[in-house]
Amino acid sequence: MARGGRAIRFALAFYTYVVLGLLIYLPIVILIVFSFNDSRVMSLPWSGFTLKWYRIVLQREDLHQAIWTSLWIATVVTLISLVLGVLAANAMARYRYKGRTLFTGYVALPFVIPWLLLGIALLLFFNFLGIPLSAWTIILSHVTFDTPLVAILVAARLHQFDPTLEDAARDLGCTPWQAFRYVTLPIIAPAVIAATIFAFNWSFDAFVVTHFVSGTQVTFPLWVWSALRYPKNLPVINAVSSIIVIVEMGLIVVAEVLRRRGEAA
Amino acid sequence: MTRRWRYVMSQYAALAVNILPPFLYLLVFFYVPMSILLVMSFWKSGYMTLTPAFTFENYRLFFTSPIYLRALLNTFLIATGTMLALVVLSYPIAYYLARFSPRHERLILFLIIIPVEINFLIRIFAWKIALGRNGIINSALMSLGVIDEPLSFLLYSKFAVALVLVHEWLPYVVIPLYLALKGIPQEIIDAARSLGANRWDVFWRIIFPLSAPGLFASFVLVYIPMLGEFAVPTLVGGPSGYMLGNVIESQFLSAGNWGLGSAIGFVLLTIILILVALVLKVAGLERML
Repeated sequence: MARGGRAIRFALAFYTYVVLGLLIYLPIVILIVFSFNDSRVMSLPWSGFTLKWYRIVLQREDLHQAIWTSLWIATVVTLISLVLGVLAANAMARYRYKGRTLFTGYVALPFVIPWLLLGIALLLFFNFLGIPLSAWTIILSHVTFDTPLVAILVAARLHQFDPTLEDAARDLGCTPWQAFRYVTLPIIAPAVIAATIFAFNWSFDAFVVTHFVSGTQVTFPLWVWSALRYPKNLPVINAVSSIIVIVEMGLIVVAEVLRRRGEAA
Repeated sequence: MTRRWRYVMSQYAALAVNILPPFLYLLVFFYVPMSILLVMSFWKSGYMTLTPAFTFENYRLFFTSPIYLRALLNTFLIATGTMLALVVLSYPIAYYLARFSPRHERLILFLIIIPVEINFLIRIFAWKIALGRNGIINSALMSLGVIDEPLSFLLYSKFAVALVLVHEWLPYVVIPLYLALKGIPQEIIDAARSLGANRWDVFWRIIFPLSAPGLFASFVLVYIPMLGEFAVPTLVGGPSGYMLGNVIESQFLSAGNWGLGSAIGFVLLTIILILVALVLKVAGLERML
């Protein structure tokens, strides 16, 4: 690094940590710290340490039900989106045909439409067809935004893939499925794993679209949304949020460690 | 049947198997609903009623109402201001990560990505705790004697909306910028330096233009969703942070005028499609995908 480089490097490093600290982590840290504060009002001075909000979290059946609903919906959504998304990625990246760019745009468009518009359009659609809102309308809606996500992530990986490898497998006697299973899949596996994590997360955390198509079904984000309206719930949201923040960070760290081991091996 | 013919047919069959399921799914659950949105924006609409009689009334209502137009203006002010703040805040971070390859590059990337995994509503809520009149920031500043009165602009203001949006979208601006900056070959910079360019020239005439794809990507990833935002302004915006998303949401879920809601939604959709088309034209489709 040239003269003056060291000073710039130090200034940029300092800046980076300050911005991340204040804009990204400050509220999250406050959230976790105040989940142990013995007061309904979240302000200083500190009113003493308590675990009572966590005890309430353990007792709230409605909350457990909402988390469970979100988990199973996200699982079903992820499975369907993986199938549709990988098929779309194949069509986007592995074949040469007229209209390929058009098809890519067709699949990618839902990706750039705000979820609010998707939510109202689907609400109108289900209402128009007389389909009652339920967990299934939530699933159908989530697949609509998860499929393009999976397709874009997997297609990016497939673009780097030599399609003649699969032809070679076919020439050597593989069925199309075997060629996919034993040649293509191992190559796209990292992208598929990343897509699985993102798709699951998007569905589990989806609030905007769900807000419109859920009917009386309560998912975890909808539970948080309605709980936010009542101040007496706030410390409880605080506690459950802290649990979720810590669990999610733990999962990410575990995933990262596994990934590094995989790289090292 | 010749071998070649059979091969061609099998390729077409394979292509059809790959194209048809996602094509049909998105047709039924995306393109048809979007078309219904367009059609119903021209239907005669009242409280909880929507009748198939063609009318421009919904659009007329929107474009003649000062409240709705103010929300439209507000939406652009907030989204544009936040986007500028995001680029200015993110650029040095992305630059540091990509061009100085610090020892903690992976740690910092990790720190940037982690919060994305935390439910967004929870993070908005965390800001509410921090920013409120009796919130942590105000009570901390007051007990330190920095201020005598709580700062009232911290919550329920445009400032609050922008701040929370910056928090939400920072990773989506830093990462594309980082990738674009990382892709600039060192040789180009070395060549410019050896031909006598100073740091300033190198940055403005080489690095910045070459990072444009990252800027375009973050524009599509961030600016456009911000135009449809409604959760953030609902929770921290107050009356001055009212955005178009709030108007649309309330037409559907409380005011019950679905025709008007559809018309406003379609206005927003049109603006977004024009913006996306512009970006694709300027940036080139291939680079975006």
